Amino acid sequence: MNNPYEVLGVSENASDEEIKKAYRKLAKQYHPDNYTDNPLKDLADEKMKAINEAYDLIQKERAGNGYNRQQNYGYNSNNTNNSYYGDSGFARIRRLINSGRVDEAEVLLNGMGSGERNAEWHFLMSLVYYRKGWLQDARSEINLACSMDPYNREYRNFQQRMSSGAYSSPYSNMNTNEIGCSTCDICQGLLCADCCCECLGGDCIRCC
Amino acid sequence: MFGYIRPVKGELYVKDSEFYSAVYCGLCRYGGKNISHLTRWLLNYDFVLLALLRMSLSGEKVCVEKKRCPYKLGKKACACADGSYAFVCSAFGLLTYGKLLDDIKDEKGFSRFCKKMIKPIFARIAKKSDTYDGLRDIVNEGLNATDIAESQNLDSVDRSADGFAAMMKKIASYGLDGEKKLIAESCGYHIGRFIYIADALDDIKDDEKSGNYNPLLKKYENSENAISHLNEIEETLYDSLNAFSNHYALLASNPINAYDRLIFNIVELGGRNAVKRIIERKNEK
Repeated sequence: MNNPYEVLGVSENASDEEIKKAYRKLAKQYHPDNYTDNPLKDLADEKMKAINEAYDLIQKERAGNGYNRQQNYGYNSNNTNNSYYGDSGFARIRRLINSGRVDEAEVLLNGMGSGERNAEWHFLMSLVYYRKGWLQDARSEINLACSMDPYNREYRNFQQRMSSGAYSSPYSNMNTNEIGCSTCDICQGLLCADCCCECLGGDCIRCC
Repeated sequence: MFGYIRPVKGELYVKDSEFYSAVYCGLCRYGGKNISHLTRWLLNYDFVLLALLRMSLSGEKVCVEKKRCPYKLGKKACACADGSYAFVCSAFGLLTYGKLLDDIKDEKGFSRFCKKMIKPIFARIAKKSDTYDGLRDIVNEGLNATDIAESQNLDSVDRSADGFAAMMKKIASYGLDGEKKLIAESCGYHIGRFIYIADALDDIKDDEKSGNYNPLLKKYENSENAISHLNEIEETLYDSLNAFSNHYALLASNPINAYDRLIFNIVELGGRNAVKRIIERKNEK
């Protein structure tokens, strides 16, 4: 491997701040997002990988074992598609999905290795499919996410949302077998309470 | 478009039910007058839903008048919304002709011969319907995409439904912009997906006999296995209906008006009823 300082274009005496600045500048320049539909995408990916490796190496050299850059920057040098400094890969994918760029999000998700495909991965994949209208695939992904992480509220909510109609629709509740509390139920309850009270010598409703 | 989704009238207000009939009447009348008398016989419930969706989205002013119907004695209430009707009838003419050409390509024997014989009549309807820029291309593209998906023998129901659904998305949102376009796109997509999968479920046994492509057969290998997975198929159809009504709710006024009540009724109750009807028919067979 080349001298990591040369890769980042800084001198060996440069301060941490300067190295960070150079890394950020190059990472922005070669970020895979800038090359999504570009024939030179592979080249850009390689460059990005080299920059990451160089930066990792310098950090390790300087800070020793106690410093784990990935925790701070969330950048995984093994997979350049994963993330960008400043947040984890999934946060970035979430942002892409929220801004409607589902195709890009799908590419990033598919680029992840099978080892990284945890419950959140399946949840995000489900969101991508949902946005595309591919509901059967969305359903199987969200079911998988829920079975992998059964206590996650966000996944459960999404699963439920897929199964329910519009809130403002007068017919939504008719499709689910929810037990509601109607006026009739309230009267029945009051009468029962009255009977119980009368058995015990009291009276809940005087007139009957 | 196969006429699966009709309202559950028992759950509608009488005034809404009457309005639905008036829209059906108006659409039939417009088609008969401006496109061809044949449209009166071929128009179905799915197109009435499309007309209601377009009327609701475009905010077209609608009046209900009593008009004489040549096929029924006496006068009938008829909703006038020519802008939306014209568009829906055009889409209908082009879709029917596209479907006929598709059938001629795929089928064999006597039914192919019959369809070839009636082709000029539908070609005339399509020509009369071709009044909106780009609508013919949308229909052709959509039917081609469906053909391509079928020739690829895809085993994913979603992917094979995508072509037809995307066509419905473009038809529903034609000429709209901004927020309304987004809502119409989503509603169109999900109703297209629903119709495609419901039709696949309806035809599963016939397709198994004839050897035609059916995404459900491809996914579940044979009709027996598909029917044992009916829950899964039902669920995905209901998911489409839920997605439709969730997205449509973004447009619904507060409190909801006659269009909203009708559309929610047709999609949430009528769609589920359609699925149940298809399943019952499967069980009878």
